[in-house]
Amino acid sequence: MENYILEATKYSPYIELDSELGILKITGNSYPENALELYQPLFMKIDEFFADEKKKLYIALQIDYLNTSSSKMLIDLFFKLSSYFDQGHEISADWRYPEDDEDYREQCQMFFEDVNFPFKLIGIAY
Amino acid sequence: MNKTFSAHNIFQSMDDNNIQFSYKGPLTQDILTSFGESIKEKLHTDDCDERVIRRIFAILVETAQNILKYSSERTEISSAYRKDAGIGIIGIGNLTDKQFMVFSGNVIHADEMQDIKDRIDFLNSLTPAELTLHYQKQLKEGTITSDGSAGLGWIDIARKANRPLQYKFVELNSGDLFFEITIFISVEE
Repeated sequence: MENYILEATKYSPYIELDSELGILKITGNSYPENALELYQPLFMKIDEFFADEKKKLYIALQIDYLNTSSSKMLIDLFFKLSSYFDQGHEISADWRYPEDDEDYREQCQMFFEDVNFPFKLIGIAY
Repeated sequence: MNKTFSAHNIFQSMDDNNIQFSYKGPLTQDILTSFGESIKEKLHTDDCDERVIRRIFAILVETAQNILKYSSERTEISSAYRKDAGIGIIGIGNLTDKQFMVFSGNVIHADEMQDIKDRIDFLNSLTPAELTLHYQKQLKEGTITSDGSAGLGWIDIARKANRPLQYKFVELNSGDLFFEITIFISVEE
């Protein structure tokens, strides 16, 4: 399959699914008016990516700010990835967040609570 | 223009209420982005606490997007994409260097009042722990609508602000209501 790239705007993130290397990157801000519209194409690409054979996917996230509807889309994304992990695909994730922001850390933990694949929260200086 | 217009009246009203920034008009995605980013920059310049800046920014975005999506007074912004944006007012004030205020207001249909009232009263009645659980449940079990509403906006605002969230409805001659909400955010010691 072809790689999927969505360029960033001030309010929407850079999204890249590199199907050869097995890397999904989401970086930048995420507060679009309609998060469903923004993330839906990625969801379809992910289904396509896992369709034929056992795959390996590493997810690298660094999102400065996400609005509530983007949070909803990300948790749905993690649930989807978790079920692919349960089917035998190899999945792991790193989430870089501003190290002094407890609100953010709490939110990230909420995201990963019910997922089965391994993940790391990495606090970085902003 | 109204003959009684006076820039001084607006200046005085903003001064009396310690309002730093305010915008009235269509809350498009581009406008709310510039508005939010400018305020973020200003607060950074003032050496405001980073966590408070993030909370204020989040609250501004959620309230502005509520107006964009739900205000009953609307204007077309792109005929090609059949897109429109809600009109309203949004602003931020600095009450003391430890307390900020974000306010928003927009026109709604009278029959929407009860639902809004019930939802905010409910959020005001919860303890912080209950509020977090409520957010978590809605995040995990809720669904997102085709216009991108996840039902999380006010819950998140309530989590980041001091409660109670203060709101009121002003009756308009048209029979509609003006819904306004004032949100206070404190710097924690």
